[in-house]
Amino acid sequence: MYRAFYSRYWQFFSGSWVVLIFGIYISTVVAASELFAGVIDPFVRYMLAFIAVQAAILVLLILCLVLWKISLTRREMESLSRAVQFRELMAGLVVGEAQEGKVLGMARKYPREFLEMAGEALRSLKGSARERMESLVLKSQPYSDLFRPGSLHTTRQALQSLSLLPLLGKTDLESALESGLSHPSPVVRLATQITSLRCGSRNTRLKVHDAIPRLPFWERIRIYMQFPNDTVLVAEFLENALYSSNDDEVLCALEFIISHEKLVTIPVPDSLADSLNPEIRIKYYKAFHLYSSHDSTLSVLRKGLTDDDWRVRAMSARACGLVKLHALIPQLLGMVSQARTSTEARRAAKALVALGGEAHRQLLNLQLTSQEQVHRIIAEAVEQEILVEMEAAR
Amino acid sequence: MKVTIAAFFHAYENSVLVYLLALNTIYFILVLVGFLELIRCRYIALDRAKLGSIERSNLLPPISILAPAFNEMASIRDSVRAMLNLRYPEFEVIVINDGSKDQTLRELIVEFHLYKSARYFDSTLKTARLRGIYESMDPIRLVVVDKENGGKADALNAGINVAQYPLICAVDADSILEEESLLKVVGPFLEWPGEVLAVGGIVRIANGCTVSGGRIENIDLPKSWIARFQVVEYLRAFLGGRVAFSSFNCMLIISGAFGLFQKAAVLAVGGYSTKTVGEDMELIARLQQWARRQKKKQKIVFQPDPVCWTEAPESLKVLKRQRRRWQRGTIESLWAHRAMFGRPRFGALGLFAFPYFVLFEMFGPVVELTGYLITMIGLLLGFFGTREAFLFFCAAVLYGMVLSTASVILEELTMRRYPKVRNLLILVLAGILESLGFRQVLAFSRAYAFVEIFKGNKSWGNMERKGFQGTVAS
Repeated sequence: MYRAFYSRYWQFFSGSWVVLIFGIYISTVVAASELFAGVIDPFVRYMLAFIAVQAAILVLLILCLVLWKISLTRREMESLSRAVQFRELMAGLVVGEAQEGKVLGMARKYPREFLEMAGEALRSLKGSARERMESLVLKSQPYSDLFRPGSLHTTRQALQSLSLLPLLGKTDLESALESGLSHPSPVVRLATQITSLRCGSRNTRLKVHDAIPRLPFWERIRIYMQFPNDTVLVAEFLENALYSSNDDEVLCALEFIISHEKLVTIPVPDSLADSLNPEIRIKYYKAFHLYSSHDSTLSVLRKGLTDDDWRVRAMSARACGLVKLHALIPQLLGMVSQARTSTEARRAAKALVALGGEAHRQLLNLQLTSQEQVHRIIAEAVEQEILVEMEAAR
Repeated sequence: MKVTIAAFFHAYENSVLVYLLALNTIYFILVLVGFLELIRCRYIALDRAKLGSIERSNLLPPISILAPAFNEMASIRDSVRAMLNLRYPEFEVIVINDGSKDQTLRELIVEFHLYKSARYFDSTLKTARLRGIYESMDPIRLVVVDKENGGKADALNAGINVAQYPLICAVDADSILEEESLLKVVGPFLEWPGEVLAVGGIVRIANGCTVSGGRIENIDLPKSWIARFQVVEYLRAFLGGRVAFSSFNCMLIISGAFGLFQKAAVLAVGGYSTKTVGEDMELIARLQQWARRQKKKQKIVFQPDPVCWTEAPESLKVLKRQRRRWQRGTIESLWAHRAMFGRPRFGALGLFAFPYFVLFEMFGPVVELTGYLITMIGLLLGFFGTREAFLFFCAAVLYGMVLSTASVILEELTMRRYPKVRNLLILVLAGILESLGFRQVLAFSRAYAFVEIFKGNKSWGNMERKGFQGTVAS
């Protein structure tokens, strides 16, 4: 069933299922009409059959619902109490008070609870206690079952092993990562990619780097969030992507920078400001304040302020405020009074307010001589700044 | 003569029976499709949750939440607080005070330390006159738009004008969004970037639940049977119908209580229409029509997981008024977009969803009521025997009972919001009892909406709210 959920034939599968159920339903009504063979009028006969089937279904549904809920509640209670039992046994084992055989015996019977509690213990324990726990897990039946051929095919099991394996050293990790990367479920593939970045070999990491631009947007967001805080790995990824001739790779690098909001230590090519892809130019200027300073800042920002795309112009204006570039005050003032869209005018006004001093003074002068729209835009920007200052003072 | 009349009565009753059978068969199929989609959504969501949250990502598109408020003094503080507590990296809450006659604006000013701000906005959509825009002196992203009364659609349009972000989330000011609602409802926009025009979430009934600090602390069923019937109705409509329509990409309605829209698309179609009381449905119909004309691959999606809790009316009088208004909205929207009816160029929307809404949602109550009426008259005049009348009644109500029970099962197998066995039994019972009187009363109110349309009634009617304090009154 799991595989069907992620299959690209899902629509066909679900459609067939619906047709099948409906077919069974109609057949039941037809079969039930035989019970009313004595009724001459076929309309009434089928109506009676229909009502009988409905009544039977209603009773059946209610019975199933009640039994399901009762058994589910019971199973959940049992599972909870088993988890508590495991926790106590594991704690006992760590201090040498419980028998390993007993825990392993229980683990064989209740693998899910065992693996969950073992994962929790491995994450919280340290030193010799952790070593003892690690050896317990490696000896257990549920652990070896995780690597039985075909076991990784279930999404849940695959996710469970991917969360457990990095905690247990690298013995089986590489082979699990290899099979995880080709798993039919996108969630498992993504979890494998995240684990690979964190603790995979150099080869597996490179494979993941290459795959990022081809991932759907929601998967990329997740991968950026889970990207390990490893400066070498980050630099390697950014360097490869930023200087690539492939737009998708460049976009990924910029998305990564925006997502992490940290200063980028490697030089970012100025040529991105000339990219033919507006998305790249927008993101390039959006993250501009995060690049380490370089000589061409002024010319790059000037180019941005005169870009054909208003979104690029707006982002460049924002960047001027964030990098405190006073040399572009006249251009920003011009943008406030003559911008084609209110968004870029607002960005420019905010940038001027952020620059402070002379820029702020000139902006207020402009407000005195401008028309209503510009007047309102400047008033908004000044007001926002006052609020920020008030908040800072608090 | 008598024979001819009797034949007419029989023919009419049989036609109504066939109609009811067709309607319920479609429901049956929708519930089946919904069931499969829900199970799939649940497992995929659970699996994704294991990958960790994305709530801190700067790449999530920022959202402007629009909450039109008209005389919402009782619940506005809790609702706004709940909205401000939502988990999402970047969002602003825009409350539009639509000329309230009570102290709604005053409550907001005092509670959230508002000042009259100089916020700039483009008046792209025409609205009633704005009296002022207020923002908070506290570090919260709250904007209050004070305007003259112009109706919900007009208030939403004013909110769209003031909104700064590319996604707008329309919510009712008397509703409570769950903390993760925005993170969940934005999912389709991330999954199919550039393709999604709107996403709707599920609306559930808060009566009976314990609310504290703008959050649902404990989920329980209402004590009033009228509210319980509505719980089942909502489950049936959202978990059965909308999930299935969404999987065929032919959604015609996203609840006005909770929907996320691409602002650019809403502006492109001219915002909400102020000429109908069913502005939510009308906007979706217009977006669908616009998208089909653009010939781009675009979707309008229903997400069963993000939840918005709302207070349901517990008085029959208020409920009937609400249903009459909904029905008027449906009729007006369908009439305005009648060009889509049966047109292959609109795909599943024109060939299936639109005819379904016209034949079963619009005319359903009239057909059902006339069926009952003909049966009763036929029984009195001796055209039918009691057995035939009984058969008609059973056939008309039993299918509905099965579907209600099936939606309770859907809820239990997928979302599992009601923790106790007792809750489920009450819901099943409500699903059975609902068909024995309640549904017929509401069908009468809905049918009366046609009369109101002919009379030219455009009013919303008064909705009495008790507010979210402690256990929501029931």
